[in-house]
Amino acid sequence: MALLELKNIDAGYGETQVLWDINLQADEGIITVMLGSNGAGKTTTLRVTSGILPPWKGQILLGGDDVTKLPAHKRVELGIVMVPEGRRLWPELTVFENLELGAYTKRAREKFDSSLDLVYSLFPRLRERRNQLAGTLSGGEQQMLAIGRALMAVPRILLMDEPSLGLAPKLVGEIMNVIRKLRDDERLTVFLVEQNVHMSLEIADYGYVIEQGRIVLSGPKDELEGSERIKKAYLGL
Amino acid sequence: MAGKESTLSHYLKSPTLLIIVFVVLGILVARILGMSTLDTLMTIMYFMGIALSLNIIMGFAGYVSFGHAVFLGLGGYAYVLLVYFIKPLADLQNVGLGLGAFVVAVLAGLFAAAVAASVGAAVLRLRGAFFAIATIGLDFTALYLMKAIVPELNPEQFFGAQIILPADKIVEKDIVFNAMFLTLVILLAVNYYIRKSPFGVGLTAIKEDEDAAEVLGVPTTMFKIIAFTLAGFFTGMVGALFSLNGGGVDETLFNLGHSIDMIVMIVIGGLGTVLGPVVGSLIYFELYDLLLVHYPGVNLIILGIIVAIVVLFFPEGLIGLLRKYKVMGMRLRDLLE
Repeated sequence: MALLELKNIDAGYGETQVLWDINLQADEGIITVMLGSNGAGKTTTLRVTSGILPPWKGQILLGGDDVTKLPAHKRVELGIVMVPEGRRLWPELTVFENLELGAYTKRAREKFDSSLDLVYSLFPRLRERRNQLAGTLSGGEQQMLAIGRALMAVPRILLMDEPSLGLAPKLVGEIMNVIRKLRDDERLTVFLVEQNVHMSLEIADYGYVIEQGRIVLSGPKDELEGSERIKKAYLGL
Repeated sequence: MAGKESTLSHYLKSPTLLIIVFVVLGILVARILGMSTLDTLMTIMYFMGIALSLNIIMGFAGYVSFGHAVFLGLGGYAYVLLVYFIKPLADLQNVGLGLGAFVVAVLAGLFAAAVAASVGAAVLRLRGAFFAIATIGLDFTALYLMKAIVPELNPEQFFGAQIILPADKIVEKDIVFNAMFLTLVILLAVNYYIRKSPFGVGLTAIKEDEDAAEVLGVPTTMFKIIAFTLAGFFTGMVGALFSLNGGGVDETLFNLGHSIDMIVMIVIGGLGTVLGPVVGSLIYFELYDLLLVHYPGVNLIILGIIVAIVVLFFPEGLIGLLRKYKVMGMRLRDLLE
């Protein structure tokens, strides 16, 4: 069942149109990825979905309800939570304070203790470093904290903007395992945008390919893996 | 975490509140014992008041309001015009040892707050430097409006934008002191409360990364408007009582110099803390005085150099700098909340 749906979305900045008639859906309990190169419109799609950028036209539905007109903070209350690109932590606050702030909405505050347990069990290192300033963490730890912070907001759907960006391959694997675990153990719905095609196809259940602001291909993971277009354009095969 | 803690040791571990109480008592004791002149204490409270007001938007939310003197001016003009033209309000000033003047100052503050809220709703969508520039524009707009409107109100008495309150409409300095003191205590309490509340936490998130705050559920635009309105309200109150103390207003209240004063005090003391503006305003007041006495003429140049040094080498300010150190195993960061 579709938890999140984007229907006929056009969006852009100023006079420049970036997204052209985007239609996609993220089904409940699975990992959906959007693949595309730099500047294809991946981040813009997430910004529209999270509510930071109002679309020019089209609709965004969460569980069938229209949320297009809601501001970002209202969408967080409904469960659309984003892990922004480049992690965007609050560097001058401690790890714990960052997590505390993640549980900002009333709904999230009520589940604070169980969310914290979940985050610490997924990332034991965050528990060890809870009193350290976020700015002093390593890149991998910062990505963990960014994901942990988003989980504190008790997402119904987790939007992730290039979680592999700038991480060593080993760490990328670790992060991917966590995302997989969230799907399998927590039944969390994930919508992920990535440049790293290899890795994202490995964990995805369903995928979309975006080129120059238009969705050019979509299908279940196996289908995409077998597609000539993907092989040529992204995997260099 | 060690088990249960007594209330006292809890406050000793986080002594911001204690320091605030000491400062407040200090002013009161100095007043009762006559250790400083009334004017000196008024000036200290004025400095502290404007620093703590601006702190709400600049310290907590990270929005530099370069034209914040506009609210000083609006509050001052609102107050003076209210007591000039409305007889009951002029009489009210003498009621309750300063409580009456306080109430009139609240009215003046509300006027400044209304302007802050409506302007904030528009300009707080701008970020960083654009917001700073927009408030400067507001400052000049208000200044020229006053210059145009004030002489029309009473052509025989008002010259330019200057209004001098007649003797029967001003009050004893003691009364002004009490009203200003009450305002300062409330302002300290509000700063402290904001620092500890979810609202303050949201403002911190906005300061550190506004987009991240937005996608984690902080209603950023609303919070910024509330913070700016509060900052406008209290600056207006301080401006009102400052004008009452001076027996009238003129256009110098809109001087950008006042805006700079506020910013410099917060920066010296430490952005985003409650103690920063308190300590910063005390240091600034002493420096200002000292330099004026010993190096008249070049005092502002020296002050400017000191500020440049602070910004270059200690951008976190004094409290921010101290927060980095540990004393006896305790992190000062936890102490100097």
